[in-house]
Order: sequence, then C-alpha cells, then structure tokens
Amino acid sequence: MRLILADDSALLRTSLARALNPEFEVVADAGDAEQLLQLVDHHRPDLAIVDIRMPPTYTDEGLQAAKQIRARHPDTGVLVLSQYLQTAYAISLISAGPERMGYLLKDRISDLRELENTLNRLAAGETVVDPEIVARLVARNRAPNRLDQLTSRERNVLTLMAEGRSNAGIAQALVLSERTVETHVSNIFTKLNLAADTTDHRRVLAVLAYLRD
Amino acid sequence: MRLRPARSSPDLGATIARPSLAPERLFRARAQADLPRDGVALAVGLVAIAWSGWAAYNSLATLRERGVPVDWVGLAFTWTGLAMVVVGLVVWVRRIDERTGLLMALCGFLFLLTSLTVARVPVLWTSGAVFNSARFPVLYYLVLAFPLGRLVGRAAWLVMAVVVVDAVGWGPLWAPFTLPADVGCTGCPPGTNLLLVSGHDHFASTTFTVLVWLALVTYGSLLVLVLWRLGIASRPGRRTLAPVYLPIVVWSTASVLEASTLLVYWITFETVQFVELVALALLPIGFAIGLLRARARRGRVGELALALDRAPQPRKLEEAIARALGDPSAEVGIWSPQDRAYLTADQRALEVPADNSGRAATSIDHEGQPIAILLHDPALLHDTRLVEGVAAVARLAVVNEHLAAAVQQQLAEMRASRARIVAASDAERQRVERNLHDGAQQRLVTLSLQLRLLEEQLRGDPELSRMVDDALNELTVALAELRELAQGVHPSVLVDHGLAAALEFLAERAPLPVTVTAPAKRYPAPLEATGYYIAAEALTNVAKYAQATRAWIRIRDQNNKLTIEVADDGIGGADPSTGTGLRGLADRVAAVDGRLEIESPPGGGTKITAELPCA
Repeated sequence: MRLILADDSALLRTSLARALNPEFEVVADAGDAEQLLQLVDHHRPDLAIVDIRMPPTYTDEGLQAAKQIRARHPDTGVLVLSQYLQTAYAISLISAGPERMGYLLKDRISDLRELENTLNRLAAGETVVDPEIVARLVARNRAPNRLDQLTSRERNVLTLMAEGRSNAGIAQALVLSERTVETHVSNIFTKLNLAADTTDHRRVLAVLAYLRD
Repeated sequence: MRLRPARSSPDLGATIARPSLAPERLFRARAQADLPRDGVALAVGLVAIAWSGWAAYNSLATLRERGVPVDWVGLAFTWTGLAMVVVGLVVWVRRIDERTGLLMALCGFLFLLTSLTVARVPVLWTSGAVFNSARFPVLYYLVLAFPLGRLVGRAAWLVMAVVVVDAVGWGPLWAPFTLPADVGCTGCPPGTNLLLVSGHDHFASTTFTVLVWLALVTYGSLLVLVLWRLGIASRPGRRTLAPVYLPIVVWSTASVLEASTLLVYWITFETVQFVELVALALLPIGFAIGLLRARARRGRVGELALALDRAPQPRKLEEAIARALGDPSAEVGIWSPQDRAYLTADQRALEVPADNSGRAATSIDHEGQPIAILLHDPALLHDTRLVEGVAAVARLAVVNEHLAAAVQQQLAEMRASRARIVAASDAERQRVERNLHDGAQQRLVTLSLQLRLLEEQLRGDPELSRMVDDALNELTVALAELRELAQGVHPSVLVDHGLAAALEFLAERAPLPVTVTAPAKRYPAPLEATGYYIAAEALTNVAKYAQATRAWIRIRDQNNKLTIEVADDGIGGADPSTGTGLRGLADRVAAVDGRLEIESPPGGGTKITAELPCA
C-alpha cells in the first residue's frame, strides 16, 4: 500500500515510516497542507495520513486538506490524525464522503498493529471513526435515553456501526455470522426509527447524527 | 425569591438623582416659621391703623374748629403712611422682598410721624418738626434700590447723600425757625415749638433760600436719575420699573415745581401740591405692583431651570435663556477648549463685544475655567439679579452636561478596556492550548511511537519489554490528561466549528443529560467565547450543586440579541454573591455589554440567562 505522511514534525514522520510494516510503503512525506496536496497530485497514493494541525495556523488545516483530496481524488483514502476528541470534526470530515475516510486520535499511532489494521480497513473502502468518540456518544447521558430499548448486543453492534465498520467487520469483531449481524442492524434501525435503506457508508453518518442528537 | 444580582452594565447615563424633598414638609416648616411673623405684622399693622386714625382725627378736628377747607396734606400723608406700612408688611410676610418690605413699613411710619405736627401738644409737634423730612432718605433708598434691593451706581449714592443732607436741613436745622401755625398746627401758639428761635430773621431767610435750593437739587436729581434709568431699561425691565418710577416722576416733577414757587411765585402752589399728593398716594400701590412684577421676572430663572432640566440641548439653552432674560437677541456661546472660543449651537464662534458696541457680555466661569458667555442687551446689566440668576442656572446646565459627557466617555473607555482584557485573556488561553497541542502533546506522541519501536526491538527480553510497555501505558494516560487539559483551557472546536458544536462538546462530557438547542450559525468570536464560557460555568455549577436530573442549553438569536439560557431541574437557591464562578460570568457578560440574569427559587431549579448584543 502506497502512503503519504503529512505532519509538521519530521521526527514523527520518519519514526512512523520506519515503524510501519514494509507492506506499507511511504512514498513521500509533507510538512504542511500545501505540500501534501502537491504530493498527492503527483504520487496518487492509496492513502494519506494527515495531522489535523499543521502550519501556518495550526487549527484544522489537515481537515481542510483531507476534504480537498477527497474532492480531487475520490479513490484516495485519507486518515486524519487529531488531538481533538470531538465529534464535530469527525462528522465534518466524514460528511465530505465517508468511503475510505478515517478520523483517529493521534495517540493511537503508537499502537502500530491497530494503526495498520485501520489502514487496511480504509483501503478496503470502510470508514473509521475513533472508538473513543463513539464510546462517548453511546455512553452519553440522555433524557429520555432512547438507547435503553436496545439489548447490550445491539448496543455493541451500534457502536461498531458508528466506528464505521461493515457488517462483515462487525461479524468478525463480535464473532458472529454476518446474517446475525444483519438481523441486529435491522432491529436497531427499527427501534431507533432510522431509515433502513441506508447503505454501509452512509449509515455511519446516520448513526453518528442519531447519537449526537 | 427571585435573584437579580448582576445587572451587568450600570446605566450611569440614564439615572440622574433628583432631589427628593417632600413638598409637604417644606410647607409645614415654612408655616411654623411664619407664625410669629404673622403676629408681628398684625401688631405693627394695628399700631399703624390706630396712629392713622388718630392723625386723621386731628386733621378733621382742625377742620371742625376752624371752619377751614379740609387738611388734604395731612390726610394724604396719613393715607400714604398707612398704605406704605400695610404694603410693606404684606411684602415682608409674603417674603416677596423682606428687606424692602421692612423699609417700606419704616417709611410708612415716618410719613405718619409728620402727623405729629398736627398735634397741639408741644413735645409731639416739636418731634414732628425735627423728623419732618426723615421719610425722604428712606423713600429715596426704596426708589433707588428698586427692584434689586440694593444701590447700584455712583449716581444713586450721590443722590442718597444729597437727600440725607436735605433731610437734616429741613428737619433739625430748620425746626427752630418754624412757626407751628405755618406747619400743620393752624392757630397754635408759637410756644408749641419748643425749639423756636426768634430774632434771627436774616439768618432764617438765608437758610430758607439755601434749603429751597437744596430741595430743588434733591427732587431734581431724583427726577433725572429715574428718567435716565427708565430710558436705558430693556422693555421687560421698564415694565417692572414703571409702577414705581412713574409716580416718582410725577411726584418729583411736582415737588420741583412746588419748591420753585417758594422762590418765585409763578404757578398756584395748591395745584402743584395736589398733583404731588396724588402721586404720593399712588406710590405704595406702585411698589406693590412693581415688586410683584420683579418677583415674576426673577421667577423666570426658576422656569429656565425647569426648561433646561427637561431639554438641555445647546439650542434649547439659548432659547430658554433669551426667554428668561426677556431679550430675544440674547446669544449663548459654550467655551470650546479645542477651538479656544465660545461656540454657538451651530458651531459659530462668538465675538466678545467691545464696550459701547450696543451689546453686553456676561461670562460664566467655573473654578477659574471659562464655561460659557451670554451676549445680551446692555440694559440688562442693571438687572444684575436676573442676569446672575440666569448665568447661575446656565452654568449648572453646562457644567452638568460636561460632567455627563465626561462620565459617558469614562464609561465607554471602561467598557472598551474590559472588552480588551477579556479578549486578551481569551487569546492567551488559545495560545496556551496551541502550545500544549503543538509542543508537549506532539512530542509525547512521537515519544510513544519511538517507545513502541524500542519495544519491538526488545521482543527477546520479556523483562525489558514489559517495562517499556508499562511506560507506554503511562504515556497514553498522560496524553489523555493533556488532551482534556488543553480542551478545557480553550476548546478548539469553538474557533473551528462555532458555538453550537462547542456546546455539543460540553453536553457530551456532562455527567447528566443535557439538551442543546442552538442554531448552527457563526457569531463574532467574543460572543461565541462568552456564550461558551457561560454554558461551561453554568454546567459546572449544575453538576456541583444543583442535584439536577436534567439540564438544557438554549441559544436564541433574535432582534440583534444572542440569548444564552442554561436551565436545570435541580434544587435552586443559587446565590450568585457566593463563589467566584457566577461573578466571573457577570464580568464576562459585561465585557460584551450584555446582561446576566439568574433565577433560582428554592426547589424550582436554576435558570441563568445572558443577553448579548450582536448587531
């Protein structure tokens, strides 16, 4: 898999490039968003790993760059690494097109196997939302708490849906058959009164929006 | 209980304290002080009436015995005296002009004193002769001091000096040469005059001639002065002077003519004397009218004060002053320190007129600084009391306006500086947040990655590998804590995604269900920050004290106002005076010129509402 890394810290870029399994080839790395866009145009990588904060303003340049990459090269996956545990950023990113889009807490890059796993999921066309964000949304206090009508298994399925996993991914994670997962998903959609025809990718947004509301 | 503690912006401009003296109390206090005054006036008035009765009886007794025509002189003097006393006492009691009132009463008694010469009792007749002319200085003073109650100008003092000499001359000096029969006491023996000196006919005749000339000068000078004053007076001033000055003009003219007949017989003495006595008899009424008119004129100063209280704009000031002065041509210039000139309402610089230019100027100063200037008819300079009153009121109005403007300016500066302080503190929070993210956090993430690499190198050594793993776990906790700290210092989502997203972030982390209703709109940064910190502080309070099961954050933006409302269903009874959290909110709200209201009835939940102007 051909990757481009964008982060303003050169040390982090080289460390990460070295740490990743050889199957992940870092073809180029960038220190800011502008350079990143040029490199993506040039190398057409499978995936770009982008830090959300980059020069010059260190706010959400990475997020904006990710959206531009999505607009120019819809086939290129983007993983945004963020310091912010905030739903608004994740939703903003995924709204640009959930397929092959990921929003992950930056801390997680030290868990290399998990990171590689995420990269593979993205390359396979899935969406990735940081589990911590989803966990917070699911655990959020609500009045009345509509999630109470779900069984604990259904809750687990809902959480994995919000993290962007496909039915196959959910089945694998929960050690269930895909058919069982489909049944759970259908039950969840009925109980929560969500539109049932939502496709895999769009349903991430629908579920996140539901959890947020 | 309804708490409304922190009205954030003190409306200094709107509330001007008004004097709160209860009118009833003032009236009561005056009534008490007046009681003895009424009594004194009544007693003195009764004395005057008794005396007049006696004098009139004497005048008529002479008539009965001698069968001569009515003693009109005696009766006229008695009337004038009595009327002067009565008018004077009323003027005194009513406080129209206290000093003038008392002097009028004195003058009246001095007129009555002349009736003593009608008496056939030697001691009384003699005293009457000695004090024969004592009434003149008092009468002159009353006329010359009218309507101010004090002498103004060298001419007036000169006339006063002349009249005093005249009174001494015709009184104590001439008394020894007067035969009682010539002055009031028809048919009295010469011995009635206890001071009578005989045998100095030549001296007496010379003295008489000198005294007649003196009388001519005395009457004449009064006539000239009074005519001159009438001539220069402004129209409203003339209206005040006329009731007193017109009888005086007639009286002094007649008196001059009368005195001249003593030197050269050219007209009938009696005719002139009749005119003189009628004018004299009208004088007390003239004083009554004149004093009332003067008071009404001075009352315009009060009206001016009322007018300025209602509408203190410069143009109104000029109109109100012109009306108070009775001079439509009056102009007002307010001193402008920048232009170093007096400016009119339409910003025209006023020239200070030269002497004899037909305009007069009265400057108004305050603590040595020029405040304003009044340009008006020079005739008004003689009505100093009116001009001073008007100037004083104008000074109050202008100084008051200066103070109000200064307070407004200070208030504006204070608001601006408060807003700057809050903005600086927000910027500082943002800077700290960025430093944490881009400095410490970035390095810790890199460090954790390197530790992971190290751990993979150490696979062969389980002991070391476990230690690195522990270090990595510790580092993960540190990173999570650092992230929370940075977001607490300043939520980046507020800047990047706005208030609604930031409030959702608050709600997601809250320990109780929080419903957020907010339009997904962007507002100016200070408003978003203020709204966010209000909600954050309020939610912190809800979690700590309210024992609530739910909370609501509602954002509305209507009529150029952004309203932030945080409510809960807890125990209520929040006291904003304790604890710095709510106080801090009030300061923050005040910095953007907003308003904060806290309702927290016991058992009824707490509702914090902030209204922020967003034009």
